[in-house]
Amino acid sequence: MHLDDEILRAYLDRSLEPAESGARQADIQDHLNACPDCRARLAALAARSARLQAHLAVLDPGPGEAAHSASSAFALLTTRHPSLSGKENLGMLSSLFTRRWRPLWIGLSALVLFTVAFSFPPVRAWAGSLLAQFRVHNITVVPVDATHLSELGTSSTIIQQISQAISDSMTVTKKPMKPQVAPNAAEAGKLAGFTVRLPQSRTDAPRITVEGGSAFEFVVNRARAQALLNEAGFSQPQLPASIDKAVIKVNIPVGITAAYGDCPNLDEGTTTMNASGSAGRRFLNCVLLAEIPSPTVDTPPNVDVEQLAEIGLQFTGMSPEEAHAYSATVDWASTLVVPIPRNGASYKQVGVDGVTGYLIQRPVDDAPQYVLVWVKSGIIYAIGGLGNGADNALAMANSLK
Amino acid sequence: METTDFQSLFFQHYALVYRVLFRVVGNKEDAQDLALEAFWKLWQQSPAQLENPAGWLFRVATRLGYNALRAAKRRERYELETARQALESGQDPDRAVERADERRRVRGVLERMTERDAQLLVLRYSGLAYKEIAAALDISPNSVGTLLARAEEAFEKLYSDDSHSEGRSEGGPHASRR
Repeated sequence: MHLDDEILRAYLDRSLEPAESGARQADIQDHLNACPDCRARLAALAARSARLQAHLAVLDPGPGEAAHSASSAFALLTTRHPSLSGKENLGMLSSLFTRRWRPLWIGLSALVLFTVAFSFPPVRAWAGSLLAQFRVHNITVVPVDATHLSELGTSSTIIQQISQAISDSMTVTKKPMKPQVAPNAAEAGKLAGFTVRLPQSRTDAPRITVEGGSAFEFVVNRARAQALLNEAGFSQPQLPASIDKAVIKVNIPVGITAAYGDCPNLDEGTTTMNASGSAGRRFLNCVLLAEIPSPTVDTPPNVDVEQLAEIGLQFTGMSPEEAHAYSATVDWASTLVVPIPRNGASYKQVGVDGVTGYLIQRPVDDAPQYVLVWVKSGIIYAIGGLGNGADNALAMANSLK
Repeated sequence: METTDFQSLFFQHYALVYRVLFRVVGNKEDAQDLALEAFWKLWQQSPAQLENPAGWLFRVATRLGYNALRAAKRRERYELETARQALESGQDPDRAVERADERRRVRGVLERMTERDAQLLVLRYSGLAYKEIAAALDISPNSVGTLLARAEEAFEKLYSDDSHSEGRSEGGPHASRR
């Protein structure tokens, strides 16, 4: 049995139809392992796809042709069609335009650790770069080249220096609240300040913890930051001059975690689960649901985010050219980038809760993990657990109310 | 449609819609105008029809883009406009001309394909997932892989035929075959 080009093509894009993809993906993988002809054809298809990518990329906006930011485009749309600005939104719209929010880079680990209750080892998850979003509407997943990073990680002085540089210049303007357990979704919602949704597909009551809510700001010292980047091997492109002495204010709202089943105690704010050994098996039925409204970032308006994003993307293992191309495809003003280890996890896009999200799976031998993450109406959701409960996670996500 | 949902959709998809339209029409002002027009049409839709708002949005956007492109006169204007902008943006002139040439060639090839195949390639290589492409082009998600493989093959054949023929006239025949 040989695979025809059409199936290989869909397989290449990780886009075999969901209903069959579980079984099919595995069958195809098995066949490919055993069949050099099909492997060769897959490689040919991949090569052709790469050529087409290059051809079509020529059509992309070049310098001077880029879109205006989504916020100014939206303002333009509202000017042309005044009926768009509903009364209740006028406040948010005007604040968006007058303060001219811009996205910037901050420690993603703080955000990811909160919204994703299972963390991959810190070096991988953080990707050594700074990434923050102004208001999250989108999620995209970036595979991180773990070998590249572990080289960086072994040179731990660099990580230390980066942490030092950040903390030296950082001021906490609001400390996170003491975690509080809420008896139900309504109470949690009152404490947290947003509508907390719970899955109707579960009959057991979760332990709901309300926590977080911090704000901090820091001042960038461009020379020091560039020196660190140079040392780490990321000297191109250079940090823009406009970033020097830039004051960056970050606000991470209060969020909630709802723990179903037997879960480790998260009240102390620990968010790593030790997934191996007996501890792992004890928490096999633990499912964590996290909800947090989008963090916001305030920076001077002249900071060029795409350029910073290009630098950060290189930490994931991309070459400067790849980072440049990738950076142009993301609207950094509204996208949360989730880094995952390239060889340690797989991911795919899934339809969930009426939007497109990502299911990330990490098939560690005795304790596989999964995380389902998506954004809806400005709130970031994540459901994670051990074992093979991804289908249940999807059911939970689709039954949120 | 709820304002907050619409705003969410706008922020989520604007950049990509612009990019897709830019790839089709090649011109910043028109790409933006058409992008806003597509979103305006989305706003006017009743919620009941929108099982897959993103798909619907891209369908409208590509249709608007190709309608705009089909006016032959405007296409020449786009090419000139692009070249002018490139030069003004301070790019190396040789590089700008090279790029403009390459764009003309790629667009020329796309125009000689069926509109559906051309749209398929533009959408896929702008990063849309199969489901969204299927909704945008009104085909079944199962057939996206098949059609994509064939469209890619067709593109390469046309592209290499193209580079083998010398002195071809600028702006090949406009193909409106479906």
